[in-house]
Amino acid sequence: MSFAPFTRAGEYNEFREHELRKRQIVLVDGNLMANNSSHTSGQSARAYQNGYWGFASTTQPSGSDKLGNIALANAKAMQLFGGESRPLPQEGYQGEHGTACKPNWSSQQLIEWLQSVTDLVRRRYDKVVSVTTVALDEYHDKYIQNSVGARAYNNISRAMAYLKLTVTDKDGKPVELGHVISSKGSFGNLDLSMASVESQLDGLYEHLLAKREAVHAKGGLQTIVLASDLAGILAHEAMGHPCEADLVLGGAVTGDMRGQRIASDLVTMVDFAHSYNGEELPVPVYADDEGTPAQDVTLIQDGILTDFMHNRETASRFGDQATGNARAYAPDDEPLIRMRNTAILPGTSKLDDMIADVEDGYYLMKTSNGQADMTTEFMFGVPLGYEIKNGKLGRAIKDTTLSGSAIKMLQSVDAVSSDMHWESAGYCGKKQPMVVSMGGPALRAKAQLGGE
Amino acid sequence: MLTQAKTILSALTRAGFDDARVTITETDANELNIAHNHVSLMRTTQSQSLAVLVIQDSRRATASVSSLEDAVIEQMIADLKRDVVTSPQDEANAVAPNQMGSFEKGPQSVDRDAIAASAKTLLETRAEHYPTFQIEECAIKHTLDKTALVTTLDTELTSSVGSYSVGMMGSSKDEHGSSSFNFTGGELNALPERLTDVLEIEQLMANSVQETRTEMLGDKFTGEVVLMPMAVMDLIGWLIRQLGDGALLSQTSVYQKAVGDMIAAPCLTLRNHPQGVDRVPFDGAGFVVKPITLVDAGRLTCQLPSYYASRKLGIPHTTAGDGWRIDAGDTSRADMQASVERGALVSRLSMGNPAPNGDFSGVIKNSFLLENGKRTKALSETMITGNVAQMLKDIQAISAEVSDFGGYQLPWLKISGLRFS
Repeated sequence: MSFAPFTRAGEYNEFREHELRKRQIVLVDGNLMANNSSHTSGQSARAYQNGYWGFASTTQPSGSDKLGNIALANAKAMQLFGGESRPLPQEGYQGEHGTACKPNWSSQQLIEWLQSVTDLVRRRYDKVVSVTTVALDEYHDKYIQNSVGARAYNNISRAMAYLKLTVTDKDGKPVELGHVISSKGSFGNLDLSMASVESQLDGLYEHLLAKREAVHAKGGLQTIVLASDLAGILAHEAMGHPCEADLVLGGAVTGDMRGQRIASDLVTMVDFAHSYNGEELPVPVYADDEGTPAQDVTLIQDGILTDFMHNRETASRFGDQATGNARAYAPDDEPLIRMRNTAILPGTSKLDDMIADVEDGYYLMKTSNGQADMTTEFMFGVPLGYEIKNGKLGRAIKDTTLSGSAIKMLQSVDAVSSDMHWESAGYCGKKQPMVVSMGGPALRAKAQLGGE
Repeated sequence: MLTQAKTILSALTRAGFDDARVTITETDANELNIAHNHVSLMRTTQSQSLAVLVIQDSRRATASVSSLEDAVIEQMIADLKRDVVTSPQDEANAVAPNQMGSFEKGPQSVDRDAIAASAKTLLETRAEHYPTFQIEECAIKHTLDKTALVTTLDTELTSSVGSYSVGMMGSSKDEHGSSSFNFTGGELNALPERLTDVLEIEQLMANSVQETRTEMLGDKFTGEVVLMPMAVMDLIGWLIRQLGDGALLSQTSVYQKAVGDMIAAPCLTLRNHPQGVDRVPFDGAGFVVKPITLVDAGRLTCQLPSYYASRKLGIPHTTAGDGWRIDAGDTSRADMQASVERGALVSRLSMGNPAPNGDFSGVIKNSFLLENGKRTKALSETMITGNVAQMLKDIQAISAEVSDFGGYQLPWLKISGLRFS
């Protein structure tokens, strides 16, 4: 796949050639549940005319001319609803950016590795009743051209191993914990040495044994210390989504709050395009799928709500710059406003001190799925946490859910640690799935916890 | 497609595989999108895929590609030859035997004028009756899926399934503030004259405009919930996962040995819904879906292992498909709410995945406090905690009214014993 000839259509148009390769290998207790590979290749065109978009895609090579005309016809077909053209931003990125992937592992190597991990678990952790090991990788190659001169190649590559251990509690009921090892690039970019895996699983098993004896958290407003693994999902769910300009247009409360204090002055939050502190991030986006040069977006600066994430159309509506957040997941998907690498920036506190200062609260260490809202009321699942009593960690708590108004919670932040943890695992869901990354330090705040 | 599938199957046999399954799918879709109360985009997509499963020496591998060109297929077969030998041997690997059928259901061509007319009535109803409701996004779509599936054990299936689907997400905003977003959607054989008459779209908008002024609960108590259909789907989804491969093979299902047991209140009967709009008459493995009653008056009748898991575990194989319906109860929705002393009417649960033992805590969204039989204030930042398996046993009543979402038909459920905070 490479750049095909491009033809203009309508007031503005773009053409994307998109290849998506994925693998999924799953072992449950050594039984191979899945050994799948998929390869999807397609072309799509999108045209803008009199305020409407038309889109067309196919898995058969059709060319910019044919698809562009179908897309334009679709845009024209909607003129019956009226129509008002709006000038779109004119920036177009030219450049090519691949990912520095080390040589990948074959499926045979991965199956043998998953089996070795299974054997290690059986040999080393006697209370484990079930072990699930999963290897997932995916590679997106996108060639984007548009009528304002963009000609961009972007690659997103991610490899991930997921390990889940299950024990039973005193009533014989299952109790589980999972662990992710992930990286930009291929499996060759991951440290999958057994010494490293053993060390990580030792920690996981220790937490799992504590969780067998777990107690319910106290429900209601609690003082919580979020481990740095969790700050990223807080950034993403709590204030990331409400700062997507399409959600703002849809009525998110953030629409009326730019320039206002919405968080403690310890909180600065940025959606990074591709790099942070000189390092390329897990999801490097140099140009988005509209061919816009991607730039960092500071969503919260020292507690003040500042900017929103835009595609070309919302940038035009708000009178802002397009930020390069328009991304499409599959070859037949149209670009939507999506986050890239969203993070709360580190502060100056130390995690141990943050815990030591809590008389009665909870230390939350892992997260599962999360959800945002127009009101900024967020939630995410917490499969691993501990009580904090008089500055010391106590008993493990059962699976719970953290929720609350993001604005209230971020305003209550009184400590931010100096470390920073990035992770790209799982998908963000918003009509389409999307590969994103999240980052952050440990935070101390008050929020609602589900429980007794 | 069928001829091409058979040709590829022959090539796989010639390549030396013991058994194989070939699935070719072609999908045509036309979709109109509404964003922020305005029509925004029309999509036309055409896609095809070839999915292959091979078994050699009791080892299994699968692959899929989006091109049916000879060179792509040859490369795919070569890759599968390479990959299959790396899989562990497992006698449970097998392909579907002796399944035959040719099925056609739903609208086989798109009526783009009907899609446009539906969008128009939706926007007009919103503007006229619910002007503070904001349609964040709505997709009105026609899809035609054609599938041919063959195996080396004489399975030969084709289908052509057409349907319209609608998915709408939005929230309300007025001088009091913004409501939580809510969503609804489902599948239809034909688009109605007024789109708001189906899929509970108008009910969602009518509730949403009352949710901009919310209050926190303020205290903790144990009470009752009346779950509306989107929340009921969460319960059904958890139950189905507990009865599927992941939980059964890892021996972690709370229903591992529960066939024949009462797992729910006697008022609950749950059936699959193969006749539902958009439901494909056979599953991806190549088994024709048959009607089943999964929970019969509270009693679990079977589990839902795949063919592989059924052979692995030595338990009966059930092909249920992916549509479900709950039998109507005998309590009206109005009476159900009137019977609640203290609790909530819950439209949507926002929560982490329940623990494998069923424990969960979740935020109740788009929900109203019920006190002494009356619906009072809209709630915010309110959580409920409980256990999903216990909730199924604690169902107190099922509504007489059942909402039809195409693949799912769901009533309201009244459930006791949830802890509010």
